[in-house]
Amino acid sequence: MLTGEDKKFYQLSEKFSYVKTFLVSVEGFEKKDLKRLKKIKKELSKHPEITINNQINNKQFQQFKKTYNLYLNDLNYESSDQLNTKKELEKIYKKMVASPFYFNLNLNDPLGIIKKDGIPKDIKFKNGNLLLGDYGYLAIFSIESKTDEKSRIKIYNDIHTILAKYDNIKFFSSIFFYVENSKEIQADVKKIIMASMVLLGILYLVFLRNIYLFVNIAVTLVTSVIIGQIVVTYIFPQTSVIALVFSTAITSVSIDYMFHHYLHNYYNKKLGFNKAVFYGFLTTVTAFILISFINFPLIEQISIFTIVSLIVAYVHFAFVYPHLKIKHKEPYSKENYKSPFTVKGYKILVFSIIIVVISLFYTKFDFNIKNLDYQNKDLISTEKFFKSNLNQDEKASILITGSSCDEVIAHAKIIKSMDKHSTVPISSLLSQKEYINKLQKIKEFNFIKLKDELNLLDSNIGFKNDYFKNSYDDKLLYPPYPKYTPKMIQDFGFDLVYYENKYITYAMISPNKIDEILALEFTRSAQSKVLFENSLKKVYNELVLFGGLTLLLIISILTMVTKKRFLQAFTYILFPASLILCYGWFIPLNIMHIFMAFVIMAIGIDYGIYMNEPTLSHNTTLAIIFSLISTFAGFGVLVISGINSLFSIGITAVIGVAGILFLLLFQKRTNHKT
Amino acid sequence: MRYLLFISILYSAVFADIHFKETRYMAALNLDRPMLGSLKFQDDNMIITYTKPTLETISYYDDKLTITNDDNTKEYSFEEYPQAQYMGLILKAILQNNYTSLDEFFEIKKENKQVILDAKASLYSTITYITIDKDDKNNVTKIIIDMSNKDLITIEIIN
Repeated sequence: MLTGEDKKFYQLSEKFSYVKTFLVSVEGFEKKDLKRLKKIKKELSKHPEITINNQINNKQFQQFKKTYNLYLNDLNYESSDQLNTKKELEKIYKKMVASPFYFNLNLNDPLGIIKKDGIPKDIKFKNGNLLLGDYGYLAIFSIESKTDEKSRIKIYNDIHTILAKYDNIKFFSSIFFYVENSKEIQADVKKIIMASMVLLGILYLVFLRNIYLFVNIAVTLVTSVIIGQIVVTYIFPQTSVIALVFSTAITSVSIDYMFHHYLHNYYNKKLGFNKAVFYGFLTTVTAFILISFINFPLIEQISIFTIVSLIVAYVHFAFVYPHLKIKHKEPYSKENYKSPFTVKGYKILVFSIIIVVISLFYTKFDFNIKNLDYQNKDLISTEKFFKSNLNQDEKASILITGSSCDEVIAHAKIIKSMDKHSTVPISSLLSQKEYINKLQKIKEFNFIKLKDELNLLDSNIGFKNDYFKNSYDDKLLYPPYPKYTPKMIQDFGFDLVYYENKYITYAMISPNKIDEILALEFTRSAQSKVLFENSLKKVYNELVLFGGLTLLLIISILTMVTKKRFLQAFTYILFPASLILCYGWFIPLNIMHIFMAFVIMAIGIDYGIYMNEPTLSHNTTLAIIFSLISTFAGFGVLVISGINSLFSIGITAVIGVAGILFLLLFQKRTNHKT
Repeated sequence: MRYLLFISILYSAVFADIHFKETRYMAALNLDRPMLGSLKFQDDNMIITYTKPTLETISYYDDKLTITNDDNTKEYSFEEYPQAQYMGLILKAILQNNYTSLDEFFEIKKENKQVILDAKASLYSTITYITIDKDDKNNVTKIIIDMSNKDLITIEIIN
């Protein structure tokens, strides 16, 4: 559902370790619990696609840290003048000979000038193992499987098979979302398509009471769906399942064309060309053509599918069916429907306008694309559990770019300095600027004086003669600036991707720093939520433009066709739209609600046009009621979906159709023959 | 009476002090520092009492350590003495035969009655390797810690 750069960055973000991280925690802090975790670790690490995350034992990185120890850490003193070498050596000597603790003298830095890099306070250990808050022991793995669905399902099943025999454990990887959600969505889609098809089948049989016609309709609708699918999958190799579900639902719109032809006896008598149906069809298709210009893949897919399938169905119903010798069965009743009460059109219009105006202030919108997806509550809560225990709750992932390895490191350092609580793995490396500054500081520190003093004092205090001759040597003081290569950085265990002449890494930043950091030109959000929001915001203008044009088109056609009865016909668009907006007062409207609102308006115009036919009032009413019920069955069934985008389409359809039905039953008709 | 005797034997078997002789060879001083002491575990905390050269007790807790000498107890955090934390953890794991808590930091090699712990990269700058000798009953008899700065710590169990 992403577009342009956002899509690229989303795909890139999937390559980084935080996406591949797989966490396992065993409940409890007893030795037996640690043993269980070790057993799990052993078993999981046998899997070819699972590796234990172990940067602390990365030889290359530890060697790098040793070489640049002086450059990577702060100093305890500003200059050698602050140090009394004799006193310090005496202190060390005393500790070595008198302290009950073993004193480990570091030959490279015997005077302890370099500050030691401590373990971050939020990382807790027990028995040499990481802890996960108050829950238990933690192990961190990395999943190196391919990103295709098949590979992900395999690794998901393997992990669940291995861990099934262990009780009281929690485990999580974001890869689980892909597999579980996809499984749930497929099951949900199957359920909806089946329900929709069965419901529509029963309805058509009951309405038409004509098996021959029913079989033909089934063939037509299946043909229209298949051709629509072929065209869409040809244009979009990765078609959304939501488009597939929508394709079944939209057949309930195309069947309108059949109802109007059939109930008005076009298949039995040679009545010629049904202009009203054609206008309805033309407007709906043109509306979808306009909507298809919105650069949002899901909307494009649905619109193109709808256009193709409606054309195929219309051609069948308008031009092929009159030649099929379909016998016309009289409707159930020749009596026209009489409302127990009626509401005048202008009252409905005024009511709708008031609702629309109020909605300008009260309707809420939701651009969080995650809310469109299947809400996997169990997994979301497990993710939250791990994140909050690792103090990563609320942290936002970003991508950092640079034209060279050095520049990425420099940029990472900037982020780290802006947000002290951020996690910026690559900032552990030495930047050019840091190197130059530290070099200057080292030169000014006067290590030569210290070395001389050490060599002079050693044996006087009790140390071996010449013991310190290699302390503070040139290897420690003046190593050359590292020649970073992507491979070297990757070998250190950091994520660095080369993409379109840019080096890219990632960081996790605090929520209160997001705006400030994302304002930098070398940062980019890697959060799917933000990327999708960006994509949505970009299409927002298009949505307004093409939505507006669609509305204009609908109004123009309606004006041309209905002329003096325009206002009454217009209620079929405005009233359902106002009800949908009203729904938005309570539930934030997402892009699928808005999209479906346009679809309802495009469908609404059909009813507006049909209702303009005073001489066909009885059959028109029946045709509209039939098609409304079928629309209700086609789209309304989506409210049973657990996927929010489908539910949104369903609920919008239910509200819209209910509005149209209300008008049909209770709106007072002008120039209406009774 | 017999019951009480059994309890007291059991208690002393479980909570018995481990007496040891420790020799710290300090390369910087070219000096051996011999020490005598005993060690016990109490509620999973390790308590080491040195009797020679001076009477001092070091208690390792989950989050801190204390030193008691001349009825005076001082408390230290592991942030202040990270090395003491690691050394305490290693010693505790070895004496309790609990090598699972060491495999993050060492390659563990078992050869007959000897266990060799080869330091992994994270400990390179401190420890090279540790040799543990055991008797027929799998009790630790000797621990030799080879430090990266050429120091050598030898702990011999004497009971």
